[in-house]
Amino acid sequence: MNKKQKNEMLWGYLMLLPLITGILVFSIVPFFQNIFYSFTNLGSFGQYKMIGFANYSKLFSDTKVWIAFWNTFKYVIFSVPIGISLSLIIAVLLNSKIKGKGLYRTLLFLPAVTMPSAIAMIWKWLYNKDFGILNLVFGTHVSWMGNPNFVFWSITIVMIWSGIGYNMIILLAGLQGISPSYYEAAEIDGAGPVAKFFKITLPLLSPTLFFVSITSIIGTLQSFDIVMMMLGKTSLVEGKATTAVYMFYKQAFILHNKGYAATIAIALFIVTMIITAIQLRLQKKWNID
Amino acid sequence: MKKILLGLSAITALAFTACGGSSDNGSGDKKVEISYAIWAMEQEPAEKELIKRFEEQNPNIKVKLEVTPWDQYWTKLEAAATGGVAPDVFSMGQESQLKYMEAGIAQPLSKYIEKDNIDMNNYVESVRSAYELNGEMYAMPRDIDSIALAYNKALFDKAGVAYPTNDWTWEDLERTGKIITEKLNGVHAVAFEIDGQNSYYNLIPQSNGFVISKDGKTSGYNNPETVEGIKKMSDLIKDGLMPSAEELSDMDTISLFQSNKIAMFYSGSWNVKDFSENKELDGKVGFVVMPLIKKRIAVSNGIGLMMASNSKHKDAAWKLMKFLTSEESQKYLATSGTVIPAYKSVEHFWADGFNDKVDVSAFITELEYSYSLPTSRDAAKWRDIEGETLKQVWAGNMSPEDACKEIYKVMTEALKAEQE
Repeated sequence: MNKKQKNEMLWGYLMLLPLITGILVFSIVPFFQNIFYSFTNLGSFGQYKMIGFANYSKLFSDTKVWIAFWNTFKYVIFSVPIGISLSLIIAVLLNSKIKGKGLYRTLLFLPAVTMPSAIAMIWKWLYNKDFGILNLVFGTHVSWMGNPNFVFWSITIVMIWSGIGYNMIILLAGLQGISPSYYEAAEIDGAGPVAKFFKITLPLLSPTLFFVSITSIIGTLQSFDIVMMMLGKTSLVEGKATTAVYMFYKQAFILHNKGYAATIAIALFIVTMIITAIQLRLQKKWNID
Repeated sequence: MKKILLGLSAITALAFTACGGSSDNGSGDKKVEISYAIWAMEQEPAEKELIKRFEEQNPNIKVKLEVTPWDQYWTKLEAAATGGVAPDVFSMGQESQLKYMEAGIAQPLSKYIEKDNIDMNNYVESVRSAYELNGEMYAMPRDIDSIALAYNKALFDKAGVAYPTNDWTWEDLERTGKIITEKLNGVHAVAFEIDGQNSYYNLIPQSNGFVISKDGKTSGYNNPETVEGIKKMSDLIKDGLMPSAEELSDMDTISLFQSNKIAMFYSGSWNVKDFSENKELDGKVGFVVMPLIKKRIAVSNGIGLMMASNSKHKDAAWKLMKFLTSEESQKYLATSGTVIPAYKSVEHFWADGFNDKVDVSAFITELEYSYSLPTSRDAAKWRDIEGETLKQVWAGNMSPEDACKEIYKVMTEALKAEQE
């Protein structure tokens, strides 16, 4: 390599240095620290002792954490497929020739850029038993957030609603990457809109769809802010709706069991890895077709 | 190359002169800045006024007020303390004070107190004792709160029943409550906030039970009287006098009271200022002491001001703490209606300040038999299970007896772990 190339390489690394330092300090190093702390009983004021696998055996028998993980899975199972389907339909509609596309796109994207605390506050109000608009419009007198049978679904609806915009934009970009010549050829062959959708759009969109599904699943597995803010501290039915990350938060910052909290975080990490690995396997299988 | 060297040396020279300016040349002359942390946003105006007065009297001390809302206050304080940069003066409550005292984060204050001849008997006993450990004082008592029965006069008029009085017993509450709930549609007689301080930490000792022993080593949940105290509240829910768990999850107690959906609730003294400024409730709220069950006792949580043990300006910090807890400053806190001060002789000014709007003397009366919030060093661990388990009782999923057994088990384990 001559001097000029070496120089350029150096500058390249220099440019990358700020970003890499940030990732190292805020993500990579804490990740390994987390693994270390899961083997300690880290508590308040940074004092800790090594306790081996005690946290892990505690985790196995902790029903509350299992329930929270189960709730988290339920959120993924329901909000991801429904959410992506809705985003897909809306993206397809927005890709066609309709008036006011820009306006609809903006309106639909707004929830994705609204602060979770604002979303939680407004929806809590909408759901209120005595003063909420939902009950007013439907003429019901249901406690959407207080009834243990409803609270999970109420929060799922908010999750789907707030996630549609983000996935929609990505799918829209994917759609616009599909060459119109495919559609023209299909029309010549006499294909209707439904056939076009299933035979052209879906297959050609599958890389984008897989990306969206992986990021949505990972994101939903980590749900915390909207759930916590809607449940608040006084909810008597939170067992039906709390998530894994909320358990982490509670152990770390309310009960000051930071070692145990680190263990919960590791458990969530392992679960996420397994699910993502499965998805990537499936993606490889389907892409060969 | 020469230019760069020249530039660098010029900058370095400048930097040294700037540093030189703040080097030590006698602590009496230089301006010192100390930080003071609080969580009560509604008290910020009063604090700012007191700080102004302090800075006028002490021109070489500047106070930086840091207000952090309750939820984040404790996380921030702990992180700062762990990093060795706790604020010079910080507010402490009775849920976590033992933790900070035993970990050596709070500076022992006895030598400052003795040097300045401060008579600690001027402060309410329950606040004073909460911040004492092994004969050493770790905080200056700043304020105290108490609980009283708040009632909605308009709803009582509508139901045609007499207002509660200071002589009420629990039976009076139940009897009147039944009438109100029957007569008024969609209104419940009474509610409690789910938090212990606003409910069962009063009901339990009032029934002759206890939450934790005075030495902080034994749990009182295996006591039948303690179970009785819990039952008082769960029976209200069972009999329909108190909103169901579902309704309380939907809207919190204070909002329910302010929306005229409940006629009575156990209110903290900190709600009074809000209520007095709420146009909806103007003239409609009254306060009496909590109805008698077996004995008169009220839980109170008193704030103390702690000094960081590794503060770099301990003398200045002590001056501020002394000022904020002096009779004059405490009187200001009272007359401005901000909070009930811990300084006994000026407490009544707080109630006097509200006299033209609402009679709040009940809170002052309750202070005569107040006891400190039950706590232990790692109280957060058992308090969490206590709250969660009792939530099951309020929701009707668990009997008070089973819940108390469960809580007793967890508390005993946690307290044992603290002793090790």
